Amino acid sequence: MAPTSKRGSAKKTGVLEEAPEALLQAVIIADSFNRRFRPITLEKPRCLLPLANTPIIEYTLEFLALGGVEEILLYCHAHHDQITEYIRESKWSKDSSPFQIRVIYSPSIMSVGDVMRELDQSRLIKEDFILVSGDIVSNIPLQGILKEHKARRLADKNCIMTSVLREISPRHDSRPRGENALFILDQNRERILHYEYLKQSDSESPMLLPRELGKAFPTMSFQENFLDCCIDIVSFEVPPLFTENFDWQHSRKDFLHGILMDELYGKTVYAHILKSGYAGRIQSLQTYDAILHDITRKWTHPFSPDTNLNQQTYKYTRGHIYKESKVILAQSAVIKDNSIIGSGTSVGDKTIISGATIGRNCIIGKNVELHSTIVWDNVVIGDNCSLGNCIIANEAHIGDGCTVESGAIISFGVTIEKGTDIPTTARYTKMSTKKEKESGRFTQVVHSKTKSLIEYEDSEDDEDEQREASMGGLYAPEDESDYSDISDFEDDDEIPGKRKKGHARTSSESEADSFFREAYNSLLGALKQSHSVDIMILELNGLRMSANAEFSEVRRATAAAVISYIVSKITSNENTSKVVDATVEKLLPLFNRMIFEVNDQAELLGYIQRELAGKERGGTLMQAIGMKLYNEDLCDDEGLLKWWNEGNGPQGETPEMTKVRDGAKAFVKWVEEQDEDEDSEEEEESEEEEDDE
Amino acid sequence: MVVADEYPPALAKFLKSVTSVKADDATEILTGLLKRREIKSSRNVAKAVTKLLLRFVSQNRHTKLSESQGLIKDVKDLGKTIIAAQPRELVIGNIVRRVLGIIREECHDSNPLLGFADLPLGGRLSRASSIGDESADLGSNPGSGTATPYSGRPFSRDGGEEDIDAMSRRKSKAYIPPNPRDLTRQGSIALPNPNFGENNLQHALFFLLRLQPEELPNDSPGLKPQSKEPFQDKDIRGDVIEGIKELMDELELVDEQVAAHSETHIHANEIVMVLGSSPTLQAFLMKAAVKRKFTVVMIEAYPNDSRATQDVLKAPSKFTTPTGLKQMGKNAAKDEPLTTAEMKATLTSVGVETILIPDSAVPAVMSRVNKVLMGTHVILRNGSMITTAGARTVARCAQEHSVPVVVVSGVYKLSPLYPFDPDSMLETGESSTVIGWADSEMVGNAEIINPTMDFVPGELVDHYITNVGGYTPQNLYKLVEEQYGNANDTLE
Repeated sequence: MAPTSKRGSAKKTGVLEEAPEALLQAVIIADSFNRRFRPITLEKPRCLLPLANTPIIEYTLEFLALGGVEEILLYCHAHHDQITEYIRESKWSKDSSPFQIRVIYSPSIMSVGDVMRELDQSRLIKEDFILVSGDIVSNIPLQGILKEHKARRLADKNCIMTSVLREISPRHDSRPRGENALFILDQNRERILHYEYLKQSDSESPMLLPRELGKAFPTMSFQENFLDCCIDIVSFEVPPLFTENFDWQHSRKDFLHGILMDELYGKTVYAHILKSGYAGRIQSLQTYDAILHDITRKWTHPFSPDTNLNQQTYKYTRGHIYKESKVILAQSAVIKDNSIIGSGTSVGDKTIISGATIGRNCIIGKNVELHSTIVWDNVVIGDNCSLGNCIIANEAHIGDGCTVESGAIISFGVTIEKGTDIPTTARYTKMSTKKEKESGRFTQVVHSKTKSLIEYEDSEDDEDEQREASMGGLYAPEDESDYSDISDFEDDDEIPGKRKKGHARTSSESEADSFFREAYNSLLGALKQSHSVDIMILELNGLRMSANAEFSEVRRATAAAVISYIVSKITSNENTSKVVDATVEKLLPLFNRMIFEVNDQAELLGYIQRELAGKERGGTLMQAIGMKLYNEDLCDDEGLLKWWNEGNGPQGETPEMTKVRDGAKAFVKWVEEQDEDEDSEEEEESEEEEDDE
Repeated sequence: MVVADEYPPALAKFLKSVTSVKADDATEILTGLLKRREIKSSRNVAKAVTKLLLRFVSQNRHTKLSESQGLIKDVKDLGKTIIAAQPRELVIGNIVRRVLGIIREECHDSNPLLGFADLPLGGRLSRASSIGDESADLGSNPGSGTATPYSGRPFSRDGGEEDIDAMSRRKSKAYIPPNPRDLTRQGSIALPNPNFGENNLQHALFFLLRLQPEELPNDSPGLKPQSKEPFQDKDIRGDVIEGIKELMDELELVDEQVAAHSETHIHANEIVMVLGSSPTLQAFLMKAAVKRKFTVVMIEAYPNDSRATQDVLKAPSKFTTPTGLKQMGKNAAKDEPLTTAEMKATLTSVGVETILIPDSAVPAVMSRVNKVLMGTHVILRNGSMITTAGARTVARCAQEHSVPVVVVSGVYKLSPLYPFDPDSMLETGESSTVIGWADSEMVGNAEIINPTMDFVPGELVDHYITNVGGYTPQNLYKLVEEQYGNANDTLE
């Protein structure tokens, strides 16, 4: 309990012969560096948000205390003032705290990589330390893992990290959607040989493995079914590595992948696969909900509400119902299983609370239905409301007779007028645009009685953030077929549509034209300079988002750019198919992201046809492209035939276009025959494909 | 055991650190440890709380006899804080009440007139004048306490009309220092075992002797002591600390004292069914094994204890040691509770035939069993108890087969509380011990509850064996009174 006295001895000890009394350090990164919790995190950092009515960071700190940590360095960026204040006031800053905690704010940290570089400069780390983010919920004892790590360090000097992983079934609720990664482990499933972050979009892109890997390890275990707890025992050699590689941002995607890919480092990373105990990280709203679910159901014992981590007075009753003292329940109110109710809350007549979490001093009206709703402190909910699995933040006021669908987020202090129906995707906040200049866009929705709310929309400008947007929902869409196939665009696709409906924002003709022009130019430029397809996707997305363009526009621009690129490349008849094949193959991910259904295929083909009209070798090209798209499964026979049969869009066909179409005649005929041959099979397949979408 | 081993030796660390930090900080440290369940078994909790109270009392600003009221209040407040940290660990309340009893006893010993520490001190003078009224109470309260032990109970004699203040005052007047009386009583009650603790008997006699001169003036109501010698504001701290240290010794010796009864309860060639893995139970069986040859049927206690069992069955060599008796000494001193499996291993090594059965086999085996032996988590005032989950089923089954259920426990586990709402006293543990969390089908669709404890009503228990003798559940309230007197401290 006297860490200061111990520090002296820690200094004396050598680097590798770890003396048992060396101070055990932990680094918490109290920033997620993403926006999945917007708009709530506009006002409060994620780690201070209540989870089962206790701030998330408390769980992390308790977990580290359980692990016997003696010194904590807490790095924060966003809302650092709030975090500093919270820690200063908490029990962890008192003399009785099991560890010393130091809050470090640096304006320059924008990623995990920045924190590690900062750490390297600060020279605060002397020994191997525990690296976690500020949103871990876990009850595993770290001692055993630390012991294992130390033993390994003595045996293998190159071991620089032990990661805690958990096996999890693919459709588990707590599995973060859209965060998939492939781990390649050795025979004994101890050493991590390779890490590959799996992008949702191009699941078919090949994965590169170091050549020597296969030779050195004849037996490997490929596993995608891991929940990465983001709890790492990290060697003190790691922060300097980050300094060396100044472009490393992410601890997994960049660091882990990079260190294992590069033979030069010769470093090894090990995995600790949990067999018991609970560990989870709140990475998104979906995992927030899932972990709350687990906490209520005592998976995280002893860290459940009735442990009263934060000086509460929760009592547990059968059926996982937790009630604090001074809860006022009307006689006819029904509290069903898995509910948490904070002190000072009153619940009106005939109200049904099932699986809901309610904070302190809330007033719930009469005849209200709360199903899995997450209500924070001081919320007022009027009579006859019905709320689904949504988040209602502090001081929000929901008028009488409102319906809030699952997945909605009502941020701090928002007032919802009587009788409003709030859809799934709604995010309301009171924060004004001024504070959020960079990218957040807001629409003011003025309600009848001059009360205004701001609807939060996040305009994403890079691919990662788009994925995050798709993870933002409390209810990420349940994808039916293959888990790893969530399309990014599935969610994004809805947004433009919604925008149009909701706010009647018209995208004028000129806007669409300017998007076409810009997209065309940027794509053509990228193709000519042979940029990677990822960059193209990124640019195109950015343009699309900023111009609020439809996907059909995207297809048109792409078709135009691709055709003019191909035409410029082709010099003779011979290399036609070669050029077409190479180009289409390269752009596969791009096409994948704009084709969702049969109509899209037909449309794309139509655009291509139109672009080819009047061009030299138009017909041949059409056939080549059509064939290639067909072979790459970008088009199926249905789409092809649709294009063939239904002619070309509203403009009709010009004679030149007809000429182009005739060029592809032979191919289409062949497809038709194929289709008839394998009629039954094809049908099944196409059905499946439709399901996928 | 695997899991338990991985936790830091939290208790050892706490016991070491408690002397070097301020009492307030030590309280918070212990609160944290209890909340994180780093200290779990009732024995360990009791040890930690006793040590903390020792530190607290030795640092408290109230040292004088006249300040005893303040000390009692402080200890109560401390007790409330620790109990709030783990309300289901009733042992905390027991220890705090015991210490309160020690303080009151010291007050009484130092100055019999002032001894009723619950009296507001301001009322000391007026008390002298009013003592005549109360003398009836005191007078009827026999000094030796053996003849009519319950006559001092306040509820039976005080009318319900009085306001609560008056009630509690009177109650406290009727308070009898616990230790001397309970030990005297032991001499007379703990008959089942003639060998029972010579030590204790000597103690009892000693107390009888020591009490004699002090109790006398009490019987003849009056101002005798005050007139004999002027009131001295004595420093009671040292004596209280001495008392707490005795309590700590009791916690150390409890297993041996309980085990001393084993020979009278386990007979040759008996088949004993055993549930639980407490060190007390282990010592009890070990001691019996020295002289008797018997068979133990161990219940697996799935799921909270079973994993360790299976581990051991896979690799038995790890746990078996040739010298079982030495093992006994070692294990008794160990901090972590023994698991079922460990106990099995050591029992086998001393030559007891041990059979491990799953919980589901209990009814099938019950008809062949002579006796069911259990450890316990806490014993309640009305003779019911809270113990390992599954115990109630076992006890009920035993009742059906008319097999006696015998529970071994240290007297420190005896709580003066009454189970008005037994459910609230039960701890619910990790769901993951029942179903693997990775099993999404189950996690998503099934509600899983894993109570780690069971409430066993007194009707299902036949006999309690404590370190101060054997009791039937119906008679336990006497022991409660001896331990805690009539002081009714609300700590929860």
